[in-house]
Amino acid sequence: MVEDVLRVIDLRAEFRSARGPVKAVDGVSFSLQPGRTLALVGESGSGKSATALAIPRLLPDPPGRVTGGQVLLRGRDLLELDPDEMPRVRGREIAMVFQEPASALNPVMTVGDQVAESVRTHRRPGGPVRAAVIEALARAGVPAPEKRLRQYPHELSGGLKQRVLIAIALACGPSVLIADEPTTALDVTVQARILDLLAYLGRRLGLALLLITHDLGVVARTAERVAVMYAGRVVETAPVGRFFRSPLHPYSRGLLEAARMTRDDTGSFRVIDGAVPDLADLPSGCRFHPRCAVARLRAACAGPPPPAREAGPGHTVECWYPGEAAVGRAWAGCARAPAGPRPAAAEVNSRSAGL
Amino acid sequence: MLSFVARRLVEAVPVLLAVSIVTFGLLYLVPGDPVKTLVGERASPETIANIRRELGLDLPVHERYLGWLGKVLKGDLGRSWLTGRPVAESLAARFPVTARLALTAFAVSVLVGLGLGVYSATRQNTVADHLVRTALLLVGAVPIFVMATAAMYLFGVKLRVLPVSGLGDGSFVYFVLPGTVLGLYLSIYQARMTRSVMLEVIRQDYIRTARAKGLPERVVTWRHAFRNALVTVITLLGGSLSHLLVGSVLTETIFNLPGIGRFTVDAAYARDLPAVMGCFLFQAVVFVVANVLVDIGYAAADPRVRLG
Ligand SMILES: Nc1ncnc2c1ncn2[C@@H]1O[C@H](COP(=O)(O)OP(=O)(O)O)[C@@H](O)[C@H]1O
Ligand code: SF4
Ligand SMILES: [Mg+2]
Repeated sequence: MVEDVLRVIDLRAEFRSARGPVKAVDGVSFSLQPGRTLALVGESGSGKSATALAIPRLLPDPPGRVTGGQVLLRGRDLLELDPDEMPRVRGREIAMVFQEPASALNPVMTVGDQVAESVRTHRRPGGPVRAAVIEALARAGVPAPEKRLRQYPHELSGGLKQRVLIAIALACGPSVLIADEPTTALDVTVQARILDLLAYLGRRLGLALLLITHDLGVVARTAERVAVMYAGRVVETAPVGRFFRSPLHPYSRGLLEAARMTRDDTGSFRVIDGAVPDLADLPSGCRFHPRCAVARLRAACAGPPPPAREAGPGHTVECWYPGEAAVGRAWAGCARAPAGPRPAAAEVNSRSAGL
Repeated sequence: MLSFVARRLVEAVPVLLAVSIVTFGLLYLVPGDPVKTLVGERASPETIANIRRELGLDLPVHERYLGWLGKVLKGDLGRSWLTGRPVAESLAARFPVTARLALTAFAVSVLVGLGLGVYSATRQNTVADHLVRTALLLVGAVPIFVMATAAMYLFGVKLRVLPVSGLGDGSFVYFVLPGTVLGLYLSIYQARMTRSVMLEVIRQDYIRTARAKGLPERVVTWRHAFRNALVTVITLLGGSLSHLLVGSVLTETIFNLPGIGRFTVDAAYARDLPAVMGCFLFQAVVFVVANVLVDIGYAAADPRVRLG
């Protein structure tokens, strides 16, 4: 058993709003191991980014703040640290790569200076800064790194910017890397190369990687484990193989079906009906029940919320009826399943899938 | 960068030409016959005709303009009708006073204004932020002559650490009080603007990247946020400086400093046309030059501008 580098236990974070607290992270737990990748998936608005930012205590405050739980980095709770101590953790122990490379680099500083800053901040003895900067850029696959030192971000393409950000993130040899949809804003052609780079570096450098994505294809290719997040909670965690073979949570099944549809059909496909609930006003009972096909037949779903239960080795799920199919094969079929009543599905354009 | 500067300077030429035409047009806009204003209503027709010829007023408009422009380019702005002294000489004598007042006030306003703006923004909605904003509001509500008089009394009369007013030997101490008072008022706007620009910048993704790198908050604020805020704030600074350089009438009057501001107002009241035209040209040149400087500062602060 590999030791956990980072353990997140019952993490809670919220954004204050006029309608009351938006509980974006509502009791999330998972752990990361060196050299392994955990994929965090879920529709947009389910609290993935809030989780990512809460770990290194980077939630914008106001309006965000962490309200509970623990973030244990090698046993030390980051949430207990003095705020002045966090800079020594960020970058050196936990690094981040974000979704929008276009706006994540300082427009008035050269690429070289921005990478050098990272190198200098957590400097290890030995080696001139310039050489370290060039090495960091080269490792992130930036072509002709010496020439980039004096360039400004607006002179680089999106993919190149993201590589520079990866270089910045990895310059100080962190043990944990959190990548929040690192390729969503990039050209499709560049996406795969950046992901392969992250997966490769993750393995080579022994990084514990938290990869947030909405692309289940990416999950299958790069991750060892999956955590499915819905409305502020992780509703299912499983090893990748088990997850794709036998997803247990109706929401996971919906996501998988939607993903298969995308690839099978051209044009429109079926996704889970409805939308992520208002996180300031959650439904009672299981938070998925207003959208769940199984719930239509089971009164328990509106009762007390389901606790996490063990469903196999490394497999947990929060559902009263894991693995059950609803009538009308709502979640079991694929695009070419025989026509029949499909209670919980809607015909939508693929762009509005919100995944 | 050098070609950028050269281009901006060349672009300023047509603007200055336009300004010169407008200034020349002042001659025709002023009510009444300037010659009559000059020699009095009761002068004989011959005297008037002689003066007209002397002033070149009998020539066609474009010849008169070119002749006038030629003189202006040589630094000859004509003689004041009031004092008979060359206008250029008067301006040159007064400019150092205005410039020293302007630079002192500018330095004070930048230190106080930008400093408080950043301080306030990084403590948004805390007690410190509210205190700073309220204090600025209160200072802004006090008329400048009240503040100036109070400062003169306190530092000049009670504590006797600074001269009350006047130019004295023109040394720096005579500008401390007026410069600080004027700078304080200017800093109110600069603090407000800096605060709001900083709040905008602090929300940007690259600030989050800077924090995620592990930079201490002080470095995030100054090296990352402030440098970006400066790109916007520079425009305001350029405007402040050019306003200061054309003279601050109230401050010059209260502190009895013979600067450009008072000269301009005196010329206007006396309908001293050559002096008014001289002041007008001077202001225009200051604004155009300030604009070029702002553009250059802008390009220095923001690499994206240099391309365009
Ligand atoms: N800065 C913010 N201020 C207020 N609410 C926010 C802010 N950021 C995120 N939220 C809310 O928190 C919830 C979770 O958002 P997020 O973590 O970005 O989801 P995801 O990354 O899964 O798409 C959403 O309801 C969103 O509206
Ligand atoms: S508990 Fe009920 S509503 Fe919730 S996911 Fe399971 S079946 Fe659906
Ligand atoms: Mg997100």
